[in-house]
Amino acid sequence: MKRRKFEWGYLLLIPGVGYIMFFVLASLYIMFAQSFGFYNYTGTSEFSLQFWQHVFSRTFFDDLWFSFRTALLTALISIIICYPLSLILQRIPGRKTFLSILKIPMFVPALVASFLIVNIIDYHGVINMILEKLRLIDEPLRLRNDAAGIGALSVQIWKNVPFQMIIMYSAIEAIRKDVRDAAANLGANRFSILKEIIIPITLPSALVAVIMVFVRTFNDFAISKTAGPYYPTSISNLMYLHAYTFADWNTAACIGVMMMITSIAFVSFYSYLSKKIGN
Amino acid sequence: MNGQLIKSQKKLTRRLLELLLPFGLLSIIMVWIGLPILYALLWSLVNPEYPWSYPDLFPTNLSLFQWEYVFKYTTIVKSIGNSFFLAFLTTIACFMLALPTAYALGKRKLKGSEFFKIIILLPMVFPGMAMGLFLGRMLHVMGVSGTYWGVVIVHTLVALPYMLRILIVNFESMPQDLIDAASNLGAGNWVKFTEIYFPMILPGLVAGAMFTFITSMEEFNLTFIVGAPDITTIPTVLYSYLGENFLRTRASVVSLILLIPNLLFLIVAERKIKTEYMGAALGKM
Amino acid sequence: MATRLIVNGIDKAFDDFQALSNVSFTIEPGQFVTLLGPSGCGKTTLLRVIAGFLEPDQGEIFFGDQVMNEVPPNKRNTAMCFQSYALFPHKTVYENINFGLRMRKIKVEEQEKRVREVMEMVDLVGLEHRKPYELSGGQQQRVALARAIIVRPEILLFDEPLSNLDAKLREKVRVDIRNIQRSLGITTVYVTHDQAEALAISDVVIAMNKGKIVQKSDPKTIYNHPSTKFVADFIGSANIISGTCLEAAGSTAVVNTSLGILQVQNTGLIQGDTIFLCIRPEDIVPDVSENVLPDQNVLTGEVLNAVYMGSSLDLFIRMDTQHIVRASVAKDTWVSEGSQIRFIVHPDKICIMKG
Ligand SMILES: Nc1ncnc2c1ncn2[C@@H]1O[C@H](COP(=O)(O)OP(=O)(O)OP(=O)(O)O)[C@@H](O)[C@H]1O
Ligand SMILES: [Mg+2]
Repeated sequence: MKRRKFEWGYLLLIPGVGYIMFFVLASLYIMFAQSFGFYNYTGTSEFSLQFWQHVFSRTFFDDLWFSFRTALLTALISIIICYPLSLILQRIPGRKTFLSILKIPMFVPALVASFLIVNIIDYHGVINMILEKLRLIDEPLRLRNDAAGIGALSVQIWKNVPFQMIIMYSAIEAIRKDVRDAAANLGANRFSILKEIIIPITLPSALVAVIMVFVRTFNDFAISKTAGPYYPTSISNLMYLHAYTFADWNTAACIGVMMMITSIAFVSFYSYLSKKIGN
Repeated sequence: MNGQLIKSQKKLTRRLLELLLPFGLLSIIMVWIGLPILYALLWSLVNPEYPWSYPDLFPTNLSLFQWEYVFKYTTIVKSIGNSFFLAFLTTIACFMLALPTAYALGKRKLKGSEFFKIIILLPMVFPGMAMGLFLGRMLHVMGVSGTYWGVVIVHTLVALPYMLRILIVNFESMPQDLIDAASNLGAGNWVKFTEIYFPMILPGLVAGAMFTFITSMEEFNLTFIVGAPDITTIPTVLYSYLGENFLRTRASVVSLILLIPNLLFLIVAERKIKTEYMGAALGKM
Repeated sequence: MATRLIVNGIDKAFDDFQALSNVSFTIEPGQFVTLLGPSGCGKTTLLRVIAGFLEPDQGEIFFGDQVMNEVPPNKRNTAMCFQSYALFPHKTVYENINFGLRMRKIKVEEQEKRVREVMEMVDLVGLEHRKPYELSGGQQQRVALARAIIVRPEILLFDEPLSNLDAKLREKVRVDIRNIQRSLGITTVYVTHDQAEALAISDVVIAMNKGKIVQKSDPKTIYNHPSTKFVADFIGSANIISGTCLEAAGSTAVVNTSLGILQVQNTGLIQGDTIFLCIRPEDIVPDVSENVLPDQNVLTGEVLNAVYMGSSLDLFIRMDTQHIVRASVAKDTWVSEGSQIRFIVHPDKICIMKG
C-alpha cells in the first residue's frame, strides 16, 4: 500500500486561516456562552435561560426591523441605481474619469460619509434651502435623525452605490464585444440583447453585490448612530447599549446571537432564491 | 433628397445626445459627490466671529481658525500619529501572516482550499460590533485591552481578509508554465523566488498593503471598543465630535483630515492597482 | 432568393491606423468568395463592416440594390461565424445554436429539426446540454459555425471557421458548408489562412494586403496568373525573379534575369521594361533528354538540397548566378545532393508581373 505523504502545505495555512479562525471562533464562543449566562464579569456564572426570555422585547424587534429594512432598502435601491448607470456608462466617452469620480464615496470612511451627508441634509442644510428657494416646501424637512430613517438610508446609499457600481460595471464590461455583436448579428435587437445576454450574464454579480451590501449595512453601527433616528436604532447599537450602558452583557450576547441568526437566515434564503432564479 | 435631409438631421440629434448625456451625467455625479465635500470644506473654514447661519448659502467670512484650533488645542495630532502608527504595524502583521497562507491556497492545490477561502471571509461578514464586544472581552482578559497590541490584533483581524484575497488571486494568476519554464532553464529555488515569485507578487503586495493600511486607518467599531479611551485614532475622535457634543465646524476639519489619505489612495489605486485585485478585495466571488 | 453583395469604396481607420482603404468589389448572388491575406491585413475588419458592427468612414455596402450603411446589425440578414467564436457563455450548446432561429421567431418544431440537422453536420451530437466552457477549442468552433449556418441568411460571413479542427474533420465540414451554401444559394464571404482551402472551395478568391484588395479572380487565375509579386508569393510557393526585357517581338519576348536569359510570352512588353517573373516550383521540369528544343528555356544548376515532401520531391538548385530556385519534381526522381542538374521551364509557365 502506498503511504500518503503528509501535506506540509497545511502548515502554511496556520498564520492566515489559523489567526482568523482563532479569533472569530473565540468571539463566537464567548458570545454563545454569555448568552446562556456564562463568563459573567460580576456575579455568578451559571447556565440560565433568563436572558433569552428578556431579549424579545418591543425595542429589540423594532431595532431588528430597522436594521433589516435599512439594509434591504439600501441594497435594492443601490442596485436599481447601479444597473442602468453601469449600462449607460459603458457607452459614454471618458467613462474612465466618470468611474474614478464615482468611486470616491467608497473610499470615504463610514463615519466621514455620515457626517458629509448629514451636513447637507440637515434642517438648515443646503438641500432644504434649495427646496425652499424653489418653493417646493414651505418649511425645512427633517431628514437627519428622522424617525423614518431617511438620513441613515441616504448615507448608506451614497456610500454603497459606488461599491456595487464597480462590481456591476466590471461585470458588464467583461462581456466581450464579440458576444454582443454575435447576438445582434443573429437578429437580436437592443432589448433582446439586454434580456438574453447582458442580464443573464451579469445576474450572478448583481446578486453578489446585493448580498454584500446587505450584510455590510445590516451590521452597521456608526452610520445609523450618527444619521439615523433616535428610536428605533440599529441592532448593533442596541447590543452596544446593553453591554455598556446597562452593563447587561448576557442580553447583549443574546442580541448578537440573534443578529447572526438573522444574517444567516437571510443569506441562506437569498442564495436559495437566487439559485432558483438562476435556473 | 428629403431622405438625405432626414438622415442628416437624425445624425445631428444623435451627436447632440451623445454630447449632452455625458455632460448631464457628469453634473449629476459632481453634485452627488462634490456637494457634500464642498460643504464640509466650507464649514471647516467658517470664521467663529462671523457665524454661518440660515439662510446664507455660503459663509460670509472664511478663516483657518478651526484648523489651527484643532491642531493646537486638541489631541488630534496624537490621534493622527496613532492612526498611522497602527496602520503601519497592521500592514506589516497582515503581510507576514498572509504570505505563507496565500501561497498555500493560491499555488499549492490543497484539498479543501475552497473551504478555507470561505473561512477567510468571516471577519468581513461577522457583525463588527459583536466581534468588538466579545473579542474585546477576551482581549481584556489577556490584558491587552487599551494597548497598541490589542488594537493591532483587531485591526489585523479585520484587514487580513483583504490582504489574503488579493495575494491569493495574485498567486493563482501566476502561470505555472512560467515557473516551470524557469526550472527548466535551470533556476534553483532561490533564483525562482527572487526572479520569478517576488517580482510577480509585488503588485499584489502593493495593492494588499494599501487596502490594509486604509482599512486600519478607518476602522471604528473595534478600535472604539478595544482601544478607547486610552488609544484614540482619527475615527474615534470624529465620533466624539459627532456624538452628544456635536460641533459641526470641528467635525468638518477632522472629517477632511480623515479623507485625505483615502483620496490619495484612490488616486494611486486608479493608476497602479489592477482591477482584478480591486475585485478580489471587494469580495467579488 | 440569393443576394448580390456590393462593397463600394470602403475606408476604415482606427485612430490613425488605416485598416481598410478604398475596398471595392462585387459578389454575385450565390457566389462563394474567399478572402485571403496575411494576418492583420483587415479581413476581420471587412467582415465586421459588412455585418454592420463597424461603421465605415467612407463608402457603401449594398445588399442587392439596397444601401445597408444605416441598417443596424440585427436588421441585416447576415450570419457571421466569429474568429473568436463569441459563444454566449451562459447558454448551452443547444441554446447557442438555436438563438438565431428564436430571434427570427421560427416555429419550435422547425427549430428542433434544424438544430438536429446542423449538429449532425458538425459532429456535435450528444453535447447539446454542455456550456461553452465545457467544450474543447475545436468543439467551440463547431458550435460557432453551426450557430451561423443554421440561420440560412442572405449572406454568410465566415471568419476562419475551421482553423481549430483536425485535417479530416476540416475537409468534411468544408464540403458540407459548400453543399449547404450551394443548395440554398447563399452569398458567402469566407476568410481563411489556408490557401489550399481557399483554392479548393471558392468561386472567387480575393487577395488582400495592408487593407487593400490586390487581386480578385477565380482560383485558377489567381494561382497561375498572379497580378503582383505579393499575390504570387502569398498563394502557393513561387520563385520570384526580377528581369529586364531585352527584346520583344511577336508572341515571345526575351528577358535577362538572375537565372539567365529566358524566353517568355509577350504580354505587351517593351524593350527595357523592368518586370518580375513568377515560376511555380512544379513547372520546373528536370530534363534528361539532352536534346535542346528551340522554344524551351534550358537551365543548369547544382542541387544543394533534396527534400522529400511525401507527394513530391523538392529541390533547391543553385544557379551559376548564385541565385537559388526551388523545383518540385516527381517523388521518385533520382538526384543526389551536390550533383548538376539540367531543367526546362516552358515559356507559357512563366508568369509576368509588373512591379
Ligand atoms: N478595434 C481596433 N482598434 C485598433 N486597431 C484595430 C482594431 N481592430 C483591428 N485593428 C487593427 O486593424 C488591422 C486589421 O485587423 P483585422 O482584425 O481586420 O485583421 P485580420 O486580417 O482579420 O487578421 P488575422 O488574420 O490575424 O485575424 C490590424 O492591424 C489590427 O491591429
Ligand atoms: Mg481576423
